[in-house]
Amino acid sequence: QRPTATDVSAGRPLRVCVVGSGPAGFYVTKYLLKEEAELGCEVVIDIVDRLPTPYGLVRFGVAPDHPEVKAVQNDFDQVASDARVSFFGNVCFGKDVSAAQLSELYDVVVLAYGAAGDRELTVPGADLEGVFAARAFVSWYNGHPDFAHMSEEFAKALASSDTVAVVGVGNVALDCARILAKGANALKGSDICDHALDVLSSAGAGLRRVVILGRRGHVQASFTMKELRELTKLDGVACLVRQEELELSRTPASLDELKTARPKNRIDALLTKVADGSDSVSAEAKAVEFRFLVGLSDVLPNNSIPNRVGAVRVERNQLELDEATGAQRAIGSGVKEVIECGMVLGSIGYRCLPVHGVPYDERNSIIANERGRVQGVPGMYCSGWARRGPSGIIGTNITDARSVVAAIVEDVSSKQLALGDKAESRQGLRNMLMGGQDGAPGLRGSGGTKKKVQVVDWDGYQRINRDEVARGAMKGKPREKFVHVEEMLSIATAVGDEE
Amino acid sequence: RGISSTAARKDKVNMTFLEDDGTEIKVEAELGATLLEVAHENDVELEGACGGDLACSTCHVVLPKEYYDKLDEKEEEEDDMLDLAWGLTDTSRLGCQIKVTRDLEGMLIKVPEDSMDMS
Ligand SMILES: Cc1cc2nc3c(=O)[nH]c(=O)nc-3n(C[C@H](O)[C@H](O)[C@H](O)COP(=O)(O)OP(=O)(O)OC[C@H]3O[C@@H](n4cnc5c(N)ncnc54)[C@H](O)[C@@H]3O)c2cc1C
Ligand code: FES
Repeated sequence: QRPTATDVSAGRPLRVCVVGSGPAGFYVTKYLLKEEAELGCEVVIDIVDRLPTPYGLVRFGVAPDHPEVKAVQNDFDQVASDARVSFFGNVCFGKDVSAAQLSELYDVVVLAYGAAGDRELTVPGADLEGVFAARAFVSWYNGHPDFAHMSEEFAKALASSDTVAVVGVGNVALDCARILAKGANALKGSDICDHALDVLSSAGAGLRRVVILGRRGHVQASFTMKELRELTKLDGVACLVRQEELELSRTPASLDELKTARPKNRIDALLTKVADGSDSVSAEAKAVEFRFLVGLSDVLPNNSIPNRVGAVRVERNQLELDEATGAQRAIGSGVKEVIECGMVLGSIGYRCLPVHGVPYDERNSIIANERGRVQGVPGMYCSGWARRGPSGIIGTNITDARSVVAAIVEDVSSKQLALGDKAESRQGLRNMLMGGQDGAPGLRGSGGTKKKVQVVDWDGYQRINRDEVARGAMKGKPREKFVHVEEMLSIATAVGDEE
Repeated sequence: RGISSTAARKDKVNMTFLEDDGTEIKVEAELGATLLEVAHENDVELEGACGGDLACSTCHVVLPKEYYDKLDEKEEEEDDMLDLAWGLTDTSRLGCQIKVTRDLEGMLIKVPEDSMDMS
């Protein structure tokens, strides 16, 4: 006989595990904690993250020169400090703990592990040295431990030419272009990693031009006004836009789009203004150049170093209306152009990766779900980029989180969720990861070599945080991030061991 | 006019927040505070992810036209951020950019419904 939701009202809390501590994970936690009255019981939430540090892309995505965007961390800190919330850092879902194990331990599991992969460039030559995913570049300058080893590769690429090509026209592409164009001097006082400052000030010193390549027209581009305007105002950096490419983009369907969408309309107006002034600013030392309706055909090797990129070849595209979908597709015209460059950043999207035991929607590269309910797994939900794909701003995850929380409340209240005997969720997870009294080991290093997982709790993260801020203060930066997990782990436990 | 005596005495202005689920929260707002600050002081469900720094648009509110017209013109930066707000209207503003003045006595502030296309 399966117990029902009445167990909850009988006095035990609803036990929830949230996987991922980016905006999605934190907003789900924040809103779920507010639903106790509605649920008729206490809610306790454990937040698991594969890294010892929280905040996801607020730490590893948001640009170092946008500290105001990171202020949202203060809000997340409040959530994490709630007595009902516990942080389990350095715990990798799918490796240290499985989907089935979490389902076993918790009433509700919310997957908010974001999009930790790339949509990759697939054109010929994309495997040449010097071609990177924008995600690698961003993660590197923001100090993500998985990318800390890449300094030398970025340095080589930047040193090989004065031009970088960025493929894609979203905000991530604009972030990359801006960071490159600003250069080391303008970023010194930010929380950009020292290893990135070093490369930008040495190999990056010769950079003159960043070309941003859009496959379709400016009306179809996904960057937003604030980021665009910022690019047009950079000190010592010209922003170049070609009037004829804007004109080419203004097909009847695009004009229709402009009529109804205020944001696009304002972007169109700004780009037109920039294009008009593009001739008069050619004397600036550096330039960020927008190109629209140019599709990447292939990446060409460097003449003297054949395994390294030397140029990109692009093809002039035209927009064609797909009557069936109403969307405009880019169609190649056969007219090609070669743009010399030493580094190519593919910025065509992050991608949510499949995790064992979690139904995956291959077509959309997201967790298979219906309005946040993971398909076929009662009690399992998803939110954020893992649910919708890699688009939207931090605020988008608020709306997303609220709807997932509403689904959870609905399922619990309507007794859709069978709540079994889960009295020991938090301790159970600890035991599983760190080895409880019975010494049961964690999964990591599966097979015969199981070893304990060193969980970083919120106090542990606070130690890392304090040390980072202190290191930064000595250099006039808000923080100097640790970029090696081992280092973070030793700091996280340093004080704890004495206690 | 309908200024409550306490509000008038304390240099405060009466306003009402209307949350997206229909909940009305009546507040006495201090002159000079921002709508975001007033909302947070009174536990109104209005986010302010960037802490009022014009970097997020999560503090989006919709105002009645007659009050909207009394406010100072938006800065360009506010308009840029509003472009990203859900359910933008002709009388939308960012709550962190509006300071309480006597002109706003009796204003009904709508926290827009956050429905989104989750296709
Ligand atoms: C380069 C870049 C710049 C951006 N700049 C802005 C900006 O300026 N303003 C703005 O509003 N938005 C910005 N965004 C968008 C914003 O960051 C996202 O909307 C938001 O972070 C998505 O939240 P999320 O929680 O779904 O994913 P994430 O933020 O990616 O969080 C996912 C979390 O899950 C963890 N995780 C991953 N895999 C596992 C696993 N197997 N087990 C356990 N944990 C796991 C990760 O470590 C991470 O902490 C930017 C995005 C990018 C990529
Ligand atoms: S609080 Fe971020 S823009 Fe108002």
